[in-house]
Amino acid sequence: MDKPVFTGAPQKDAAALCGLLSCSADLIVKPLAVNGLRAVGLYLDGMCDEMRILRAVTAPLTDPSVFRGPAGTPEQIRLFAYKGADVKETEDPAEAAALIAAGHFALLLPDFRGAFLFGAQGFPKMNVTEAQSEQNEFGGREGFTDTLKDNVALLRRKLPAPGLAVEQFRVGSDCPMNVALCYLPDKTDPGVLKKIRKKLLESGIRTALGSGWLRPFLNGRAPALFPATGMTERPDVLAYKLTAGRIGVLADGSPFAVIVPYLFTDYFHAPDDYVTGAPYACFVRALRLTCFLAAVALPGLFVAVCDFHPNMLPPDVMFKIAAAEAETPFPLALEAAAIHLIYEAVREAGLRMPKAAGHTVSIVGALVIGDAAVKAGLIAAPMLIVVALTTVCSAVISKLQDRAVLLRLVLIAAGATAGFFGVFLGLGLIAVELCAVSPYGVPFSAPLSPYEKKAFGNGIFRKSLFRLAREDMKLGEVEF
Amino acid sequence: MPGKNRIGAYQLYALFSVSLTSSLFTSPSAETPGVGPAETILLGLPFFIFCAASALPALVCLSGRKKRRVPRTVFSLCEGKPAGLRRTVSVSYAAVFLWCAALAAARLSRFMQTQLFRGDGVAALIVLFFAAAAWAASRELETLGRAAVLTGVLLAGSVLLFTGASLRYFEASELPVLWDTTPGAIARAGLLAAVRTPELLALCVLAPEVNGNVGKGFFGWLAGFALLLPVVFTVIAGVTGGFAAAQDYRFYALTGLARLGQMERLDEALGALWVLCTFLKTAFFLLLAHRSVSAVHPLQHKNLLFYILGATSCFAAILVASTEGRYLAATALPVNLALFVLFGAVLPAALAAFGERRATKKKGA
Repeated sequence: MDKPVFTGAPQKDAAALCGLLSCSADLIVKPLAVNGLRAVGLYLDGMCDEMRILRAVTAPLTDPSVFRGPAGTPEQIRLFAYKGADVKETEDPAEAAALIAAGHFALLLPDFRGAFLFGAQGFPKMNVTEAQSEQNEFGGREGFTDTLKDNVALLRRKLPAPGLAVEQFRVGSDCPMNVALCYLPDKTDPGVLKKIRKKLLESGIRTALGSGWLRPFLNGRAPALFPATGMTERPDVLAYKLTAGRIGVLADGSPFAVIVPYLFTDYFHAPDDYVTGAPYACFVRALRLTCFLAAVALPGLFVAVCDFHPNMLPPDVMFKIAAAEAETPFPLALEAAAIHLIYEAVREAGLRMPKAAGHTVSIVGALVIGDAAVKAGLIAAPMLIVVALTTVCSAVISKLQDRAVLLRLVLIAAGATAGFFGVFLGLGLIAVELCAVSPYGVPFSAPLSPYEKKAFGNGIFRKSLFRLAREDMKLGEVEF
Repeated sequence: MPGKNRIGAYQLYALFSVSLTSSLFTSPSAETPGVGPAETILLGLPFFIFCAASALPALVCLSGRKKRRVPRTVFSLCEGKPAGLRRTVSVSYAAVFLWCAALAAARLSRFMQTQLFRGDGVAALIVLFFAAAAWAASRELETLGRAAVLTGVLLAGSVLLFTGASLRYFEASELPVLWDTTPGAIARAGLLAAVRTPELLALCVLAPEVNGNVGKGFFGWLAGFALLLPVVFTVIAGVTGGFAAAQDYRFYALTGLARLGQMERLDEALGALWVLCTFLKTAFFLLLAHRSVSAVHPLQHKNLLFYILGATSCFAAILVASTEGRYLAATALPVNLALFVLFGAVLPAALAAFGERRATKKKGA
């Protein structure tokens, strides 16, 4: 089949574009008279702001006072474009169709083998709201929206540095998506940037519906326990990471930015750390790390201690646990795994169900698991306490929650099979995996190991803002 | 920042420390006959001398020629020599490293049989252990180096915690009379500790992959370890007295007495830490064996070889650990001393000397 081309006959070209857009019912084809010429305008209903088309495009174009002299219309429109309207010009009908699908208004003129496309997007979009997944107490409130342009603007508002570079391209063949790569050229490693650009352009992804769809391609090696990329919903977090030499990937249709590379210690940072005093921030970061370890290993250790090493516990505690466990019909490991699976099911139900019914799930879950199951003697109270503690701990590091759930179940199995031997062998494997990941040449476990003196102070602890003010941050040097 | 598959000297010595701690502090007393509390307290100096003396030839030979100063391995010393010799050296080093991995796992297996699982069979766990170690080894040296630093910090903290927690039971009257021992017995104790330091053989294979001054770091690390040993053994002797002398696992006996608040029997936690250290040690030796094989033989299935080497070493470990007699025979001083001296000192020195002579002859011609 021949590739369609513009012929210079507006009606014919409009029919060709209509064909490329599957003669969609929401495609509006409007005849216009521009400087006495019979032109055609096309746009998708609902994707364009009709008032904006009228004010910024059709009204000036059809106003004889705007265009004077001979009817050299394309040149006049080009001049008109320089007056501030967002106008693109293309000779490729496929590109024109793609831009119409993205909310542009197309103008076809007689004897002009091309199309002018005016940015007049007016589709429904999300307003700027508070970031839902990353709450904080003292920092900024706003989160990203689902529109790429707005997200770039939000980022620029937080990071009004003239050097902020934004590269934009499209990924996805069946369902294309606009993607913006944001970075500070003087902070970023050009090699890393090149790799990211290459990975995005050569991803070969067919359908992309948000930044999360790009993560596997940016993570590289699969399947990795710890990903090389992180996500944030907050423009201030992305702005801070860019100043530390990271690269942000924003995608149209997603209120989350991907941060590349992302390191293990990043998971324990929060925007509030820089508002509270350094000593408290250090304490909170240490607490978060401890909570992550507890979320991963506590149930496994509990099973190992009760099944294999009960003499580690004081006799009173040991007898109480033994008495409680003696009344339940299941082995400890099975009990631990079952409660965790039930908890995950309740959590998933609460997350997916309509909000009105979500509360019901919570109440049923709490009553059935928390009260009735213990009273019926199906599960023991000590195990329930351990699971509750683990759940609270895993909520502290919500970004690692999915990993924590899987690792926890593995360590429960290891603890039930071989006690501390199994748990610590499992922890050893996790440590090796953690140290094996090197996203874009920066070790995931840095600055813990390899130890980086400059970065350690603000990676694990929190340096005072006076010290941070004196340090220039570059990727791999100061702030990982 | 170190590149792929290169590690910093401090990471190498963290690996050594983790590896050595797992064997020195937790070996059964039967493995070191005639070594009492007094000898353990005084073995620091002879340990340092023996280790330094045996590592010196390797450090000198492998540090590179005077002008270029490019670190070498025993395999690069074989370049230009008959293929048969290169292959023999490669296979011999691989076998020695597999033997070291097997001994480490056998030691762990004996410990688990006697202390953790009290007589239950642990062969299945050892198979799992080797599978995990082979997987870890396949993640390359840089990963093991990083993991060793994390484990080393945990280990150092734990040793401090265990010794600190048991200090309340320390009584000077429990310390052995140091002048009751003889210089010969102390030297023998030092030698026994030194031959259980096969980590030094790694220098013959890894020197070019280490950033920083390997030699300087080596002596610093060795001196630190030689100073640490007497301190820990003094605490063990002062706390446990005659009790520890009668125990199979002395440091383990110390932690059995230690308590921390409501937590009792910290020996169980130490057992777990030992597993972690031995896991890294085994992975490290499997990696060294892999390096030895791949230095001469081109490999197509790199990762598969890790598992084949792991299976070989696992079989040896299960065999060695099956009875106490076999285990003691395998860890006997003459066998290990011969391996230690031959592969740590004699072979690198001989290969280097042979290479220099050949180079001189070529120059003369």
